[in-house]
Amino acid sequence: MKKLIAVAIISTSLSGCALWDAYMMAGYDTTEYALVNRIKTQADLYAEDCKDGIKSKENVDRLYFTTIELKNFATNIPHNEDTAKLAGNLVELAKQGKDLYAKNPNVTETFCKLKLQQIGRSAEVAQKVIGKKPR
Amino acid sequence: MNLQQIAQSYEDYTTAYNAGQISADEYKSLLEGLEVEKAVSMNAEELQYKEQLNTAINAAISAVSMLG
Repeated sequence: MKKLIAVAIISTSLSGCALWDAYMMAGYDTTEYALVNRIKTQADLYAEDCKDGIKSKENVDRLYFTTIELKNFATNIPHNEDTAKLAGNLVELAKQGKDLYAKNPNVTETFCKLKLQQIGRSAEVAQKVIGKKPR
Repeated sequence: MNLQQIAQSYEDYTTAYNAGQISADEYKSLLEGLEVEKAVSMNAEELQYKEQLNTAINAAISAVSMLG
């Protein structure tokens, strides 16, 4: 009852949907955080291998796999749509890199580093908000 | 990623492309990546807003609980 009163007080200044979404949002999940951390770490470390085309292609494939893993994990947690969207964005970025390696194995070292930078930056943004989810 | 950072990245990619350091396909992929980075920022902001709201709701619940 008290919870309902509190929610009613706050809801006077907010739309019902926003309030409900926020109240029901999925909490912090260690596995989710570990996966996004792995993506960030892989993106950082794999940049060191960009000179080696064969190794880079394998690394980008591995990174793509990890992003899919995060997306699959986040998608089926109830009230977790925002995190699932972020995970989808990371999949998209990794797929862009993967697709280019599939199209042309002679990808330049510069591209490899810049694409990994994009993935690393995005994973860091996601990691910061995922880490602040309610405990 | 804010607009200034996106503009900076765009300039860096264009410079690399004009200098022949990356191919046209690579340049295109990087620009598409910038679009995704913009989406990441927006989605992260939305999640952050909900987290702040969630904190406010729980603080209000605690306050009301203390009343009775």
